[in-house]
Amino acid sequence: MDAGGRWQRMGVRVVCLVAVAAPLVALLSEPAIAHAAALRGSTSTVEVPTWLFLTTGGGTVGASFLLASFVTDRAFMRSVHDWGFTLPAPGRLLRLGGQLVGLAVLAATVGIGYLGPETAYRNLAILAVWVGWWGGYVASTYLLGNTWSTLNPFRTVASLLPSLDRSYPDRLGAWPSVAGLLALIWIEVVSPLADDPRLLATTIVAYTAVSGAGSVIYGTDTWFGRVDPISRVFALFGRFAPLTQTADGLSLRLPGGALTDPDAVSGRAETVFVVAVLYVTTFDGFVGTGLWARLITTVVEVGVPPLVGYLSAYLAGFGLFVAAFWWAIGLARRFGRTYITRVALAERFAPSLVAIAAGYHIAHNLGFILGLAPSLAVVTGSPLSPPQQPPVLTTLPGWISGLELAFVLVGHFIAVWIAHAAAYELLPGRLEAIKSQYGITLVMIAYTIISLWIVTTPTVTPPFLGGGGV
Amino acid sequence: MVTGRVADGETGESSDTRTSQATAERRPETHVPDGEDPRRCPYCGFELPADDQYRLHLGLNHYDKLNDVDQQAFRDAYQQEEAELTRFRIIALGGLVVLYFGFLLIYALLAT
Repeated sequence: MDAGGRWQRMGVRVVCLVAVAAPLVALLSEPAIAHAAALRGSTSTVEVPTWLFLTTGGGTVGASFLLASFVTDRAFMRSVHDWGFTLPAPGRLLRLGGQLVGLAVLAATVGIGYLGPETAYRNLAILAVWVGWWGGYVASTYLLGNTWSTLNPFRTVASLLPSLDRSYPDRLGAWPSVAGLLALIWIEVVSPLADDPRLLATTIVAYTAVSGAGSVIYGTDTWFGRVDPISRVFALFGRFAPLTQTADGLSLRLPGGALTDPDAVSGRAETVFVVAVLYVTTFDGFVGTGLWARLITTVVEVGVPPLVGYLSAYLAGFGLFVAAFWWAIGLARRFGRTYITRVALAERFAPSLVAIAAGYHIAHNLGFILGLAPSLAVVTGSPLSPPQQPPVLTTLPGWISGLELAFVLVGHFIAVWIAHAAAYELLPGRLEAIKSQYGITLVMIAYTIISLWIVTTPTVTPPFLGGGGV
Repeated sequence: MVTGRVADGETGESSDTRTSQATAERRPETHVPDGEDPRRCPYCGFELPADDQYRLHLGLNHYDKLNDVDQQAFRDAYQQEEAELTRFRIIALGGLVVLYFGFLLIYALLAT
């Protein structure tokens, strides 16, 4: 093998990459001082230039890859991931209770959505969905375990309906979930779903109807196991979680351990779905940045309709994420000197992104959940006549924002480790296994920089949409 | 292929039948470009581009079935790799040092 030439070519590539990345970082760091705690209007700042703060984040992820490369013992890696034990499974009664709770919350959300006050921050539906469910509950699916298959009220409703049990076309695979997830988040971003309780209730009713119809055609197991995007997201997050329900009971593993299983993701569509999960949370944050506000304002001034601008950016961004991931897998195939197909490599590398998505989700939502949790509690107490100004925590302690940044980084560290383990399970050569991670590590470093920037940049209301969330 | 059987291959715990079943099920899909002549594993059909990788694959996945010559060839390939790994580790360590002190210097200069 002509090692010298290889290193030389690689050096050229690294120089090109730095040349591309440096202006990007510079662009992101326009305000000279990083607002390390600017998630919800907090005022504390770090006296470090933004570019330095962002490259430090990227640098730590790079360093974690270098550190992981010192671990080359396959038996040790396997023992880390297989560590765990089994706990007794919850009984059938608990399951029934969970289903009833899920149904009750769904009924209350829809009912109060229509009948409760119209002001978003006083309405239980808004608070229950965005603070309780999308904020808190989603966090529980990756911090504890995925309980959605039991609680899922849409599934409980659908299971009461008769089913035609048509066979689901295999060639569709997970593609409908990809489209469904992109569509759901698109609706969430462009419509005032977080401001208008009536609209939110109608959307939930429509979602119940769609999943009911799908279950009638294909059966509940097929619909919620293969098509329903929300169930799929929670199933992925559940793979990260320490607790999983198995045939023998509850199994306890290290966080992320189950993501190294060979069956975590299968098929091209599922790998794209993992990228989509990461992408949609990023886009949701990105439209709230000043950079996007300036970009879209410029585009609209040229004469492009605002929604076209939003949609183009949404789809282009998704294309970019998928292309970056696929490029990284291409590098893995080349540097790993292997005949394994890109899809087969992607199946093993994609689960690492779930850890990043989980870390980013909690960083994005922690301050929001803590701030509005008192509102949720008070409004739950009297949903039909809530106080005029439900209580909120306006000033969170400074270390909360530090915790948010820590979550972004911890998610990336776990992701680096999972990619490392995947490479060692696929490739016979230890050095090839390390080299195969070059691409995915570069992608992760770039994503760390972008996500740290989004989490810490001051949030502004996305222009032209007529709604800014709770 | 590798997956769960790697650790077993190294410790030699797994029975032959289990190994061959598992490898047959879990072998990742491969695609060999036209005009290339791959080495093909006689036990699981997995294709590999180079001789050293082939030796390593045999040893890691089918150690029990190999004869003494092939086992020795695997150990040699593993040792050979060790030398390259050591070189890589030195570079990685250098990278860590550069990262650490690089940032330390930049912070010392810029963060006041």
